[in-house]
Amino acid sequence: MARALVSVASLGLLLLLWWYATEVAQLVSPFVLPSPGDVISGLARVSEGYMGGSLMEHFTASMSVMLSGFLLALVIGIPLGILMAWIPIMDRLFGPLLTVLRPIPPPAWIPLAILWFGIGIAGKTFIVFVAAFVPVLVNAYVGCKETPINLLNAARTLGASQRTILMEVVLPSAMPVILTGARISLGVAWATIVAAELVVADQGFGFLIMNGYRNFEANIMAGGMLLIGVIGILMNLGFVWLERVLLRWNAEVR
Amino acid sequence: MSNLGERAYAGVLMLGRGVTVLAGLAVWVVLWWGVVRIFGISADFLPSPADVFSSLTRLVTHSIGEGPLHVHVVASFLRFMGGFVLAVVVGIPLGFIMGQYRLLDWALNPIFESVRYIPPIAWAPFAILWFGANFGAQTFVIFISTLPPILISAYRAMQSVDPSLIAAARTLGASNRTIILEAGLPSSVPVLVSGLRIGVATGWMALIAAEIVAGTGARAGLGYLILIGQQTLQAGITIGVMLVIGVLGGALDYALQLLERRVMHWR
Repeated sequence: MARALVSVASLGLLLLLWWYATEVAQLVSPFVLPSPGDVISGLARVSEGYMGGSLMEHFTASMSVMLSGFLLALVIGIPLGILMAWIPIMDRLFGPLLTVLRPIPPPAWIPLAILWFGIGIAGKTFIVFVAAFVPVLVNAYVGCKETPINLLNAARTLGASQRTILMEVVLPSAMPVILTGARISLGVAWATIVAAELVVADQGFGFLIMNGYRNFEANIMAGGMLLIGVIGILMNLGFVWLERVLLRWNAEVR
Repeated sequence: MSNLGERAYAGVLMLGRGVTVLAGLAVWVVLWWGVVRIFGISADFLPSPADVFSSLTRLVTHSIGEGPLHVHVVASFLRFMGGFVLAVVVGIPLGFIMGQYRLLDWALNPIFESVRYIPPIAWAPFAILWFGANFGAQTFVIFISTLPPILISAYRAMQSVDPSLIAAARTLGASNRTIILEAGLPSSVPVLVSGLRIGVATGWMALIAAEIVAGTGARAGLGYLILIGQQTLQAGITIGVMLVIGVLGGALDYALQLLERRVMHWR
C-alpha cells in the first residue's frame, strides 16, 4: 500500500515537473521537449492519419514485417537448435558459424540487407529474421541440452527409441526454455523493426519518429515512442499469457 | 604434479576444440567462395572471401571519411566508452542506494519501468536533437541501453549481501553509508561484474545501431563505414567491417568473461 502510494506520487511528480517546465514556465522550446498536451495532440494527429497513412496503416506496416521475420526465425531457428543439440556433426558445423556471426549486432545487418533485398518489405524482414533468429536458436539448443539426465536414463532403460526420446522426453522438457527464447526474440524483433524503419521506411512507427524529427515535430516523435512502448508491453503480456496456456501441463511453470 | 597434468590435459582439450571450430569455419568459407564462383555472383552483391579480405587490407592503409580503419575503430570505441562509463558512474551508485533505501526504490522503480519497453534506439532522433549527431547522440543511446542492466546488477548485488553481515554491521553501529561501502560493495563484486558484461554486450549493439541511425552527422565510426560500403556499392567494405565489429564485440565480451571467472574464484 505504502509502496503503491510512493510509486504513484513519484510518477505524478515527474509528470507535473514535465508539464510545469514545458507549459507553464516554458523553460524549454517545444521543438526540443514537447509538453504533455503537445504529445496528446500529436497522438491525435497520428490517429487521424499522418504522412499518408492512418494509425492502423502504420501499425500494420510495422507489425506485418516484424511478424514475418519473427515467424521465419521460429520456423528455422527451433528445428536447427534441436538438430544441433541432437546430432554432434550439426553442432560442429553450425556452432563455429554462430560463434562468428553472433557477436555482430543485428542493426549492423541493415546496410547489407538494403544492398541485398532493397529498402522494401524483403530487406526489413531479413533484418528482423537475423535479429530474432539468435535467441530462438540458442534457447532451443540449450533447452534440449539441459534435459535432466534422470529422465533420459529412465527412458533408455524402458527401451524407448531415439525418436521417442526426442519427441516424448527432450522436446517437452525443453519447451519452457524454447518459449522463453521466443519471447526474448519477440522483444528483439520489435526493437529491430523500429531501428530498420528509423534508417529507411515510408511507413511504420520508426518512420513516424524519424519523420517527426525531420519536420521539427517533437510531439510526433514523443507520441511515436509512446506507442512503440505500449505495443511492446502489450505484446510481452500477450506472450506471457500464451506461455502459461501452452505450458498448462507443466507443474513447475504453473 | 597432478595439477600440472590436469592443466596440460585441459590445454590439449582446448586446442582440440580450437581445431574443430576452425575446421567448421573452413567449411563455410569454402562454401561461400564456391557459391560466389559457381554462380558468378557480382562482387557488388556478394564479394568472395578473398575480395572481402582485400577490401579490409585496403581499409587499413587507405582512408575513407576521416581516415583509415584504425581512426574509425577509435572513434567508435570512444563513443562506446563515453556512454558506458556514464552508465557505470550513474548506475552503480544509484543501484546501491536503491538497494539500501526502500523509499527511493519505490519512487524510482516505476519511472524505470515506464520507459523500459521503449527500445533504446528509438531515443536516437531525440538524442540527435538534444546532443548532436557526432558524439552526443550515440553516447546517449548507449547510456540509455546500458544503464538498466548495470543499475539492476548493483541493486541485486546490494540485495544479495548476506543479511547477517548487515545486521552485524548495524549492531556495531555502522551507518547506512558505511554498510554500502564496507559490506555491500566488496561482497557484491561478482554480481556487478556479470552486470557489466551484459552492459558491454548491449552497449556495443547500441553503438552500432546509433551510428547507423544517426550516422549522417559524423564521418567516422564503424557504423559509418558499413553505411558507406552500402551507399557506394562496395559490399566488400560492408561485410569486412561487419566482421571487424563482430570480432571486436566478441573480444570485449571475452575480456569480461575472463574477469568474471577471476572474480568468481576470488569469492
